[in-house]
Amino acid sequence: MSKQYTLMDHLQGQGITRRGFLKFCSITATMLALPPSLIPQIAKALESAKRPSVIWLSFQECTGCTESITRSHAPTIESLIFDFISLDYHHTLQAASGHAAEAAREQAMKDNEDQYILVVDGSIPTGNPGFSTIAGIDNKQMLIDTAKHAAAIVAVGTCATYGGLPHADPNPTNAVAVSDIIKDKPIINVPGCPPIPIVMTGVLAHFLTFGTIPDLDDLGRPKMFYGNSIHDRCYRRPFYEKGLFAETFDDEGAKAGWCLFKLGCKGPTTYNACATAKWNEGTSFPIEAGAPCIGCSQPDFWDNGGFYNALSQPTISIGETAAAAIAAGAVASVAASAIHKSAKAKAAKKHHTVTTDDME
Amino acid sequence: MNSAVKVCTHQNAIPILHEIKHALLKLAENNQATTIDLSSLPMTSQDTEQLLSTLGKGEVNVTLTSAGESTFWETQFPGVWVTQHQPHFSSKQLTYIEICLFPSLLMAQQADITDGLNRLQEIMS
Ligand code: SF4
Repeated sequence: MSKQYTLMDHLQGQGITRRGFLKFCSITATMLALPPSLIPQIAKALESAKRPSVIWLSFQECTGCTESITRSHAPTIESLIFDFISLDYHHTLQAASGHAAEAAREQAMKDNEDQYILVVDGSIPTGNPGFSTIAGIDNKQMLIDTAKHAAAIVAVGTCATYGGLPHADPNPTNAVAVSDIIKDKPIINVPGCPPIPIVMTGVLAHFLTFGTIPDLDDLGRPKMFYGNSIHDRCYRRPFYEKGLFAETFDDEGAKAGWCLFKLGCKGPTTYNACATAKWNEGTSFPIEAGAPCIGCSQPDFWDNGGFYNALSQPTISIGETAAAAIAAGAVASVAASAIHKSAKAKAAKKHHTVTTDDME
Repeated sequence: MNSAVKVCTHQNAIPILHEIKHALLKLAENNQATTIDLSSLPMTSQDTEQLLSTLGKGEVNVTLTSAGESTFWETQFPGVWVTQHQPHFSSKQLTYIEICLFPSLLMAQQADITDGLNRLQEIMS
């Protein structure tokens, strides 16, 4: 049997020495929020990490999510990981189109049955199937067919995770999230409009390192990136605690860098890594640029009142709708999770996994 | 070291200085190393600048050119090192404060030593 291409082979092929590889591992540890003491174990796991097959489906979306991850100007850890994976289908990026592209998807599904990662961006219209089709196949059907033999699904962006903009009131296409359709596979939600590239790569790096999906919160998001609210990690927090708020975008408080809560900041209710991972090669994040957080990684952020209304002024209709949805959703999700727990466990079982305990 | 210690006044940098002090104590008493990852903390670029200027520069300055450029320097407090990986390898500049005798990433690796030995032998044969 021929030796399988590993991550170490890939890095060596790029002229990266062992020392460079260890540097790569230390950056990976940072990305996965793991302590530096685990670097030798991460190195051991990544050395032999096999190239995973990835099928990427884009439904009702603006391509911002793909832009976010592919817009690296130089070789970065994101592009190294992105180059390492075998991206077998991505209709925006691949050269093939029509039937040739669909044949590549089917071949990848056959060759990597129960092993491939399915990445989805965009919401799925459930109104008229003709609202969004690829090569004559409607989005819902393509999702169901491709999810069937996936090891795990990564829903990228707020459209795929919670419906996003297409799902916003009045939701003309009856758009839904991946998790509304697929119930028997592990789904990792990576919301954000768009998500932070390093968060997306972090999920792939976690899969390469541990062979499994990261710990998720109750909205299906990896806790290592979505475990803290923006407010928890905001550098303006000391001003919030002292009650020092900017009242307008150009008053003295705004100039002095005071808290943006009164200008509509959704940081207290938004869970994401913007405050530490930052954007544009680590330059800053919206709050650092003087704009309140709009809560783009939370469900229904488009419909949660005005972007510039303070959180303390909710609109009554939204409060009622949210309360009803929460009550109905809680009952439905408890029942559904019991039914689908075994199916998920079965899918996870087919994939070799390790844990941090194994590494210690 | 005779340069004057500048006092760091910025609010988010002061807790890190406390953490460095505690880590340095552990290094002095038990030879125990600590790494602080600044990129996971709520810091603005001004916070980082103020922290690094308070730590200052000491006697050692190293550039590593493997897999993108990284710089290491010992601060004016021996045993407190700053490691910076430039953004062309990571999507942002990553800054770590390492409280240790010497940053381990700078040590030669067994696989690279063997590779170098082979190349030397080839040149000499
Ligand atoms: S600016 Fe927003 S996230 Fe930051 S402290 Fe104020 S309310 Fe919290």
